[in-house]
Parts: sequence; structure tokens; C-alpha cells
Amino acid sequence: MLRMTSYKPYGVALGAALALLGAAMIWVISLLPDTAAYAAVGPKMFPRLVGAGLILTGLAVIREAMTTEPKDEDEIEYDVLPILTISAGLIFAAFALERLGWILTAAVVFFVTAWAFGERRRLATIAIGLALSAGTYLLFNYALQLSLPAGILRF
Amino acid sequence: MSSIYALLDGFSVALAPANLLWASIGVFMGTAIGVLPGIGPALTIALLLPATFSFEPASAFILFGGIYYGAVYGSSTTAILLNTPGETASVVTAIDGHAMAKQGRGAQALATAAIGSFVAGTLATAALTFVAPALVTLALKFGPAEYFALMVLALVTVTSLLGTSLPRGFASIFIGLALGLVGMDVQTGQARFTFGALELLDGVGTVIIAVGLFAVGEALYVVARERFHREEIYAIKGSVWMSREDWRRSWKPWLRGTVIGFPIGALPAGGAEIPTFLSYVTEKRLTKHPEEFGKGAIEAVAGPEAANNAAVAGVLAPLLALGLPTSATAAMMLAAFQQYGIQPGPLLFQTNSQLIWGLLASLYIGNVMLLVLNLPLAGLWVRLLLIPRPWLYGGILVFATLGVYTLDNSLFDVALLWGIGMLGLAMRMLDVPVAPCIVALILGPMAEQHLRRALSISQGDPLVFVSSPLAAGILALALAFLLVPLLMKLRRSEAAMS
Repeated sequence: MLRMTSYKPYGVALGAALALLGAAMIWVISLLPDTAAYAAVGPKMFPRLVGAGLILTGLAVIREAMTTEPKDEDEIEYDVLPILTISAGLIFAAFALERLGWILTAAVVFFVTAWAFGERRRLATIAIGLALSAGTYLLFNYALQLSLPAGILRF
Repeated sequence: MSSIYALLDGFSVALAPANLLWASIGVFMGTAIGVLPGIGPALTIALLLPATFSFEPASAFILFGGIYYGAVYGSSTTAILLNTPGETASVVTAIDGHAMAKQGRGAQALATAAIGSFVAGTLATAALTFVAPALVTLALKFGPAEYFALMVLALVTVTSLLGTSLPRGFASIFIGLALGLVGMDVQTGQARFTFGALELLDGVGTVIIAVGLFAVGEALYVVARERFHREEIYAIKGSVWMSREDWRRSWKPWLRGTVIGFPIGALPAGGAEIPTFLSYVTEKRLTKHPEEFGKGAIEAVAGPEAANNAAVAGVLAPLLALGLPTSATAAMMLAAFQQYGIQPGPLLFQTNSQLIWGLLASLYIGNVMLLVLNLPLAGLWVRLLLIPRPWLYGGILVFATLGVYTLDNSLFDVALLWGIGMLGLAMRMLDVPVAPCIVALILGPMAEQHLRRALSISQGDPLVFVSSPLAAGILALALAFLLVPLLMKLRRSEAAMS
């Protein structure tokens, strides 16, 4: 479980991350080769503006976090395990979708997500997941002419 | 006058059986997703983009328009009966609407919301019919400098009027702008921030970011808070009809809500949230029963619900006439236009008049359908909430994966979807609003093109943004939106000190 008790450290971290991102953008874009004509309006100008904006925003976020007094209701609790469970399901989908096929992969995503949300009726969840994935497969591949991978369930 | 002929022509498009069918599917889906938590109109349109690619553009936009209007109707239902607004535009409705439901007056709250939405939606759509062509005339005078100024204004107002913290709003904007920079520069072909990945040359798709932030990020956030969450549905009891007194207290708030909602939606100040707050405050000031506010005043439901529907029609004016999205849903509709290779803006009214007027006409029809769908059937829609949340979110993530994969049949996109989802989770946990990010993502590349075009014309002289009175005026307005809240805060803290 993750407890976000105080506004301050997280706000400072957010601001620092934004400012770093902005600085990194300005650095990365400066590595690109120069275009000859109209250097002022080349492909580097807008990224520099955005990078500078990120740095300023980051500093403003830090300032805000330092000056805002934390209130009691700022303490919010988060469960980490279900976040990891759902993440695992989605990353699994990115690897398995074209090998296992849409129907099985989508059913896994459905089951894992429902499990993370506390659903424990296994058979019903599997049945609904399969019905949803098979239904979308038929709809997309036969009615909408988009191709979802069949995978190991070739028929 | 020509608007009326064009609109009649539009009705001939909208009344074609196929398009009537799409409009009814749209309002039906819209109401459903408005009722359901975790899924809103921007996400729905993003998910439908791949599936609608083979559609006629007019049919697709009639579908999307129905979804946009329907979602605003549907979200009031859950706001009133459940105290969980389906969309942010109904947050205000929930205050007094839910209080009415607790007193057994849920049916009257639903009725004044639905009828008020219909009145406001119809009047505002009529206003849109005339304002959009007028905006087009104005927009024809715009050059790159004016467009750039307008986009800056839209970005500033989206942040400064929304959410609690200005720095965090801007954080969202700049994250969106940064994401929009990934990919090949259109003018020079220079690859930027792709880190050698071929998959990123075309940029991170708008759909992937919208679906990642709205579906995956939201699901991850909700699941992390699920154990700490409790909700109660209040059944509809007693008389389901509005009394004479209810009507008497509702009709003026409906009209005032429309007057507040449409212009604010139509200005590049964007979104339907602000007008609902303004309407609430106005009604509270004008009512004879201020003591009821917060405890179930019907005016506090009638006004904001009219205001948010009017604002939704208003948002379509800059979208269609200027190509300027001011809400996340409008941004997704713009992405849909781009998918069809259509660039919204002043020329659209000439080149695709059938599409535009067909869409406008179908919005009138959609409003009538929505009144019928929502007034007698509100109790049925609430049953949707009986879907167990684990299955609902399981379904949302299945559709998220489906929508993102079918864009390009790319597994890289599915992995990216998870990454963007984690970003969305982090943003929610750190109180960074998500909607400005989507608007910035769409506006960023357009703003860059206009900025560079304006600067090439002026040969690099940045004074071009000040020498054009129109551009200078718009930029000054943007600056005012930025500074006024800051100054007000300063004055308040000074007052507190003395």
C-alpha cells in the first residue's frame, strides 16, 4: 500500500521531473544537425519553447508545493498490488496478442482486470470475457473488415 | 438567411434512414457512457475511430455528435441518483440533484435536468447554426499570426479556468505539447524525440494517448482506490411528475443556463464545466429560496444542466468554424476529421457543406431523441449501474486494447498504451488534470505550424504578433486570463494579512 501523506515531497518531485524533462528536451533537440536556412523558424524552435515552458512550470509547481500548507485530507491511500496486476495483463497482451490471438488474449485482459477489481467468480468472469472477445472478433473481422489476429484458434 | 437554406439541406442528409440510425445509435451510446463511470465521450470517440474509418464522414460525425450530446444527458442521471457525476460537467448538478434524490425527489430532479437539457440543447444548437457561419466570415480574415494567438488563448483558458492549481494545469498543457512534438517535423522531415524508433516517426497517436490517459490511467487509479470507495443508489419514489411549482422554478434557470453556457462554450475558453459553476452561482443569487441551495434546490439542477448542454453546442462552433478544439471531446472529433483528411476551419463550410449541415441538423434530431430516451427511461438507464464494476472496467480495458491495436495492427502501440496509462495514473495521483493534455496534444502541432508560418512571412520578426491588432488583442486577452486569477489571489492574501 502506498500512502501519499503530504503534498510537499510529491509536489517537489513532480516539479523537478517536469523541469528535468524540459532541460532534457532542450539538450536532445540541440544535438540535431542544423538546417541551413531560416534557423529562427526551423524544427528546433518550438521544442525549445516547450522545453523552456516545462522548466518554468516545474519551478512554479515546486514553489506551489513549498508554500502550500498540507491539509488533513491530503492523506490518500493507494493499493499498489492491483495496479501491478492490471499492468501485467496489459503487458502480457502486448506480447501475446499476435501469437495467442485476440480471443484468448482479450479474455485474459478481462479476467485479470476483473480480478484486480476484486471479482472472484472465476467461471462467470471467464465466460463473459470469452463472450466479449469472441463477439468483438466476429464483429471486427466479419462486419467491419478489420483484422484481429486469430492466433492459435484458427478456424 | 442562407443558413436556413443550408440547414434545410442538412436535414435532408440527417433524415436519410442510415443517418437517422447512426444518430439514434449515437445518442443511445452517449447516454449509456454518460451513465457509466470510467468512460466518457472523448474516450468513446477515440475507441470508435478505427471502426468508423470505413464510414461515410457524415455518418461518423452524426454518430459522434449524438455521443457528445448524449453523454451530457446521461451523466446527470448518475450525478443525481448516485452522487457520482459521469462527466465533470455534471459535478455541480450532483450537489443539489443528489440532495433531491435523498428526499425522494429524484424523479423531479431527473425531469428538470432532461427537459432543461432539451430546451438548452435546442436553443444552443439554433445559436450554433447562426454563429458558426458568422465565425467563418471572421476566420477568413485570419492569418497564421492570428491563428497562433487564438491557439495560445485556447491553451491558456483551458488551464486557467479549469482545476484548482494553475501550475499543475500548465504541467498538463506542456506534457501534451511535448508528446505532440514526438515524430517527424512536417516541414523539414527532421525526426524529433523518436530515439531511433521507427514506430515513433509518425508521432504518438492521439488515440493512443487519449485512450491511455482516459481508459487505462483511469482504471489504474480507480482500482488503487477501490477498497476505499462506497456508493449508494437512491431509488425513485413517489410522484414522477414535476409539479406546477417545479415548472415555475425551473424555466427561468433553463433559459439563463442557456445564455451562460453557449457563449462560454463557444469562446475558446472551452469546456462545459465553468458555465455550470457560473449558472449555480447565478441561480443562488437570484432565487427566493437561497436556504435550499446545497439541500435540494431544483433551480440548482435546472440551471447547470441547461448550461452544460448549451456549452456543448457552443464548443462545436470554434471546432467547426476555426478548427479549434476547446475540450477533450472536441479534440478527439478534430482527430476524427484529420483521419478523413478533412481540415476543419472556414473552408469546411464550402468544401464539405453537406457534412457540416448534416451534422448540425442531426443535432436537432438527436436532442428530441434524447428527451424521449431520458425522460421516461431514466430509471432504466440507472440499471446499467448494476453491471459489476470489475466487469465494467474489464470491458473498458478490452475495448481500449482493441481500439489501439486496430489503429495500425501494432503491438508496439499496445505496449505504449500501458506506458501512457501509467503516465495518466501518475498525473491523477499528483493532481495534474488530464483533459488539457489532450487539447494541447492536438493544438501543439497546429500552433507550431502557424507560428513558423507567421515567422517565415515576417522573416523571423516576432513583432508580427503585436503589429496585427487582431493577434495582439487575442494575445492580450490570453495574458489577462493568466494574470487576473493571480492578481485576485494576491489581493486576497493581502486582505487576509491586514
